[in-house]
Amino acid sequence: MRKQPIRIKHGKNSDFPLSIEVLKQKVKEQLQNIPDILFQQYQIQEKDILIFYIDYQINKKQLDDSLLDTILNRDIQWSTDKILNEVPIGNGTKQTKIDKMVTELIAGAVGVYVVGEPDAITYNIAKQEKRNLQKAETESLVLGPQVSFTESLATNLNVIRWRLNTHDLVTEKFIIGERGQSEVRMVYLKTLANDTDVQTMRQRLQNLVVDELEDSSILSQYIEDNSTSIFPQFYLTELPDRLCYAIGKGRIGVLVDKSPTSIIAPSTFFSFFESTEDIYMRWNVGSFLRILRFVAMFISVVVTPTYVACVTFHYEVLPTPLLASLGQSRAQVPFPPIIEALLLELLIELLRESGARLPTKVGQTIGIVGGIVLGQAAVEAGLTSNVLIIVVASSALASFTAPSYIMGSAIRVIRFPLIIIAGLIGLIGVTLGICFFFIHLIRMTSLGRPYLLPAYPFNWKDMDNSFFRLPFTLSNTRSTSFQPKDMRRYPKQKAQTKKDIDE
Amino acid sequence: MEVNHVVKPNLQIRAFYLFFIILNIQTGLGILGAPRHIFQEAKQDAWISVLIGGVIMHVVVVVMVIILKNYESADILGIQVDVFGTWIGKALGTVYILYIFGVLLSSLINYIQIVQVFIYPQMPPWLLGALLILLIVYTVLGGFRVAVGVTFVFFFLSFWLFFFLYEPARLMDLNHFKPMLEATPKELLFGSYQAGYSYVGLEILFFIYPFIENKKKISMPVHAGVASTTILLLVVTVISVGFFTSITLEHLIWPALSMYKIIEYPIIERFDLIVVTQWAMVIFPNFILFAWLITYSMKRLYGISQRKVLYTIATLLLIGIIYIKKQTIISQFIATISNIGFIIAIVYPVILLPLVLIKRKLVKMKEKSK
Amino acid sequence: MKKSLLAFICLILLIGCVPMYPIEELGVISIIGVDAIEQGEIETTFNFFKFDPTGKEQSQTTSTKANTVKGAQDRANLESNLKLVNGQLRLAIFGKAIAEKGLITVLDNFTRDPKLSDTMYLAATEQTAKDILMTADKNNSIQAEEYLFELIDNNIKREIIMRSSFREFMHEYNDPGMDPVLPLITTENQKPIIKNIALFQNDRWVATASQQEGFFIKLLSSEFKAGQLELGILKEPFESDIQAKANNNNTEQISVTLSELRSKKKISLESETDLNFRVKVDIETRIMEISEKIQIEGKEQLNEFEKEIEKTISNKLNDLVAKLQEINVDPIGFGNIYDSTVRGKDLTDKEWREKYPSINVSFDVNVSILRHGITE
Repeated sequence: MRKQPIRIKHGKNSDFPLSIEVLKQKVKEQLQNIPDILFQQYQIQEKDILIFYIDYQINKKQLDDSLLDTILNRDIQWSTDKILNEVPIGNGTKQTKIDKMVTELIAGAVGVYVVGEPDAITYNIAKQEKRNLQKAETESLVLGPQVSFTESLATNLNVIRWRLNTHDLVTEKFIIGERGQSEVRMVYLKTLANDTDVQTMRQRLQNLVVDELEDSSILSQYIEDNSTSIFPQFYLTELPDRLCYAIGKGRIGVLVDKSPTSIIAPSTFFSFFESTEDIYMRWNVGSFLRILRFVAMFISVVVTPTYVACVTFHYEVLPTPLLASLGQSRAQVPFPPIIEALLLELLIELLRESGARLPTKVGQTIGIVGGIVLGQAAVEAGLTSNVLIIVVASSALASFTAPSYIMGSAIRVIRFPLIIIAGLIGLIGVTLGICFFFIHLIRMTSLGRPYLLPAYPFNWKDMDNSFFRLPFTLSNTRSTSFQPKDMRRYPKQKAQTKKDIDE
Repeated sequence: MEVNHVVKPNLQIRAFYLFFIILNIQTGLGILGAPRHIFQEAKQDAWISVLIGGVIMHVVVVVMVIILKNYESADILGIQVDVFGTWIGKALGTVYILYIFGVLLSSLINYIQIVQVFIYPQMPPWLLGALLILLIVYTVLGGFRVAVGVTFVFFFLSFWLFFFLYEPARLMDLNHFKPMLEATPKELLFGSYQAGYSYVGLEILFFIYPFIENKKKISMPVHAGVASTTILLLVVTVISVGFFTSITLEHLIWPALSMYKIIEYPIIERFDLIVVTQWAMVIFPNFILFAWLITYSMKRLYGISQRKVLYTIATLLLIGIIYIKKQTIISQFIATISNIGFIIAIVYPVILLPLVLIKRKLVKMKEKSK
Repeated sequence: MKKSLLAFICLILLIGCVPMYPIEELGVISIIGVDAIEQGEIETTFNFFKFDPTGKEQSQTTSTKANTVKGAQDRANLESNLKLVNGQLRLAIFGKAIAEKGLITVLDNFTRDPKLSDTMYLAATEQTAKDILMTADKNNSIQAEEYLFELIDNNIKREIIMRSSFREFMHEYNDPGMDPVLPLITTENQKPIIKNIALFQNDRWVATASQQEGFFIKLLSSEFKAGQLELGILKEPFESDIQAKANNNNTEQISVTLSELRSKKKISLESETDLNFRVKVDIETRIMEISEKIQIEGKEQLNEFEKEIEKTISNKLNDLVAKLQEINVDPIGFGNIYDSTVRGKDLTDKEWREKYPSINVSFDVNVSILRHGITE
């Protein structure tokens, strides 16, 4: 009874019914005549059935087992509805438009058309080539879960669900991209994440009009607060445990299809120096490592400019024995210290970059060859002083301790302007340069929240978990800086009354 | 012009930042030269002068807080208009702005001079001046919250310098303080007066009151700030007096800096140089807060956009730096600013208090009679 | 874009604005010697080192004449291919002539120069400073700049000689009622060594004190943390305890070496009008060596030792103060104590010079021997 009006309704703007030849023709036309579209024609009980799909886009086994097996082995007079009823694949949809159907085909659907019927059916049995879950490469860990995200959004969501198996988890879906569309998921915990943050993120994702999204790192640059800054404002991670830890603290994660990295927002400057390993470690060791990283950053930024400043302007600051050895190694170098330092810094950057671009095995050799042979040769040729090699190498080494590769790169790059200003006006330039970076950091925001939290605006409680780590008995709250809806992570253990020594 | 100035909540700051604002703005440059000036008046009893000065400052803070509490959310510009009427009020506000500009210029010049004397005798003053002004402009463009943030963060980046005073403290000669209590009360008071330049800056409270989130709690941080300034100044003065002989101290322009010359470590031979460069972080908040004050006050008084004012004062500062070069002129300039500062920061609030109270009474009586 | 352009222009402007001192172009002066020559001119000898990649013979010595030290430095610059800089000056040696004339004209300019360190050492010599520096420079077995600096530095750290830093000298010079002292350097066997101590009246060198007198000056003017002292005490009270005669012929005295000597002193003005000072010295020490073989047994004997040492030290202190009064030099700082005790107007140096010869000092020395080696 009800089918009648629907058919009439369809009939007006439906491309069907068609003959097999015409259908073939139209589909081929839509697909720019690619050779990979396969048409299989069957005649069952005088009904012509056309099954068509793009060869490499579908799961052949599913096609054979579920679709063909059902259609060919039953002796029924097939119609669209019957197929929908009988074929054991859940996502069959009726299609009335050729172009829509073709879009589905591209996405990995198989089309079934029974000649004479007013609509065709598509089953999405896409085969998605993807790599298996693998060990994290860019953010490597010693302890803790080693698995990293893959390019497949479905897998990634699966991994997240696996870790956060709660009905609280929201995975809001956005489609971004005008030309090439990508699925983007915003992941957060409903009862934790701050509503304003969620709203801001949603707004930014919705308002984003771009051609296409190549990767989540590009998305993060599109939705950043301050796009001219050198510092990243969202943490990009490939570690599911890290993302889930952040979500569990009330922050928001963003996943992009086809990208193995996820975005954590909002992120603070200090969170870029946190590693999940700090939490897996004992609290005191974790604190030590975290502080070590801050010291490393300081060394990395300050040491080379200070060397340049002292050697160029402030010979009186150095103690005499040190001055003597510095002077001796400088004496044969034909360049002023600033050129010398820039040269060597550039050399180190070259080594790093070539090591990253080359295949792993060659890359390692380059590192060793470059580091030892080139350095040695440069000193012997009198191009650089050997003290500077130590200085530059240690500052490069220190910059690699940043758990975030992007932050590490930023730290390495800001050294260059500092070296230049140190070579031009000395220590006061270095101080002013550092002042500038701090002012810049104070001005910055991440998803509308101050970037320098919890240092400014100052938050005493959040010092734990950003500058150092306290034992879990003491740190039972989430960081207040991001204003999660629920502060308490678990009840504080009953105040431990100190027992007497031999009780 | 509205007497009460309501500030958007996202621009407001918590009251406890006042502690850092007050401490930072008062320490700044004054502390470098203060021991000498105090010592010239009160000799070995300089420390008593500092304490007296501290007590006076606390009284002034009480007075200021009473004045401010009489209004809902007013700053000094609004209060002056309320008390004296629009014309005189605005004129007084302009005087304030000029004075603050003087303070800003004098401290900028002073710092540049210190850098020139200690590190780069041949460096042209406009060079460092231009760099500092660029940074000031960049910061003030970020607004009040950024200015406070810089004050707060730079405090932690620089206050460790004071711990290194332990080395000169170890070398103190306690005989320099004896015989105690030799100075006459007049000399002591003059000593406190000489400490004035280090107490300049307290008037900022009058301006930023509307920006405080929890206005009821302002007394504590402000008093703590003033007390810390006093303690810091006391420590520096005591160590200076103990460390230097009287003849030396009377002739040193920046005794606090000269003291650092004695410190040497296996990797840093000359600590004074590090201190001079690091001092940029100590005084930089001063520059920013004062520059911000000027832009904000001009907007309040005359409705000129803050950006325009900021660029104008940046230019004026640069011109000032280029033209004021001589050490003696600079000293005189600073002394003048210090004297005016004493009147504006300490005397003026005390005069203002009864006027405000009378005015409030009159308003209330009017309301009642209506 | 505009901003970056602006920043770039600023950077361009910075180039060459501040003169550079790349260390490889520097001749770093580490020691200067100042001598007075005729007609008020001074001859300044510079010892500076330059940086040589091969590490051979680094330091050079050159001397020039001019009216001021700075002027001499400029002259010296003409005689060298290096930029001579004084920021690393560690030691200044003053020849006899200029030290006797007064050092303040030179030193006052030192205080004005922020490049100079407050911790550099000063020393005087009975020869000319040029002699000392040239001798040190010619001696191939030592490195002049290192040797001379370490010579003073190590001996000060070991508390063998007294203060000699620039800061202390200026402090004592400026403090009313206190006079500075400096170590005296002489050459022996082509090598500079420290011998004796120069006593200054204000900034003028007026007399010389022996090494041991130097020890007692330090005992009265500051504290020892781990000093050493060799003392001759009377032999007579211990005659019966001596077990084996030493082969020296000294029949009256035994030499005792005290080590790890800790001292504290307290000087107080007892009477303003009579200028009576009372000095209390507490010494804790350890007997290290005795010139005769004496078995130290029991408390009484130790007490005997302590008493003898106290007596000897008191005598020496009395002699010292008498000598100082005679030459009217006050390196101990009695005037300082007087000034800080007596209320009223400030003491001037002149007043104190008049009063100083008539002060009376009584000593109260208290020695306690804590240990006497690992034998009993």
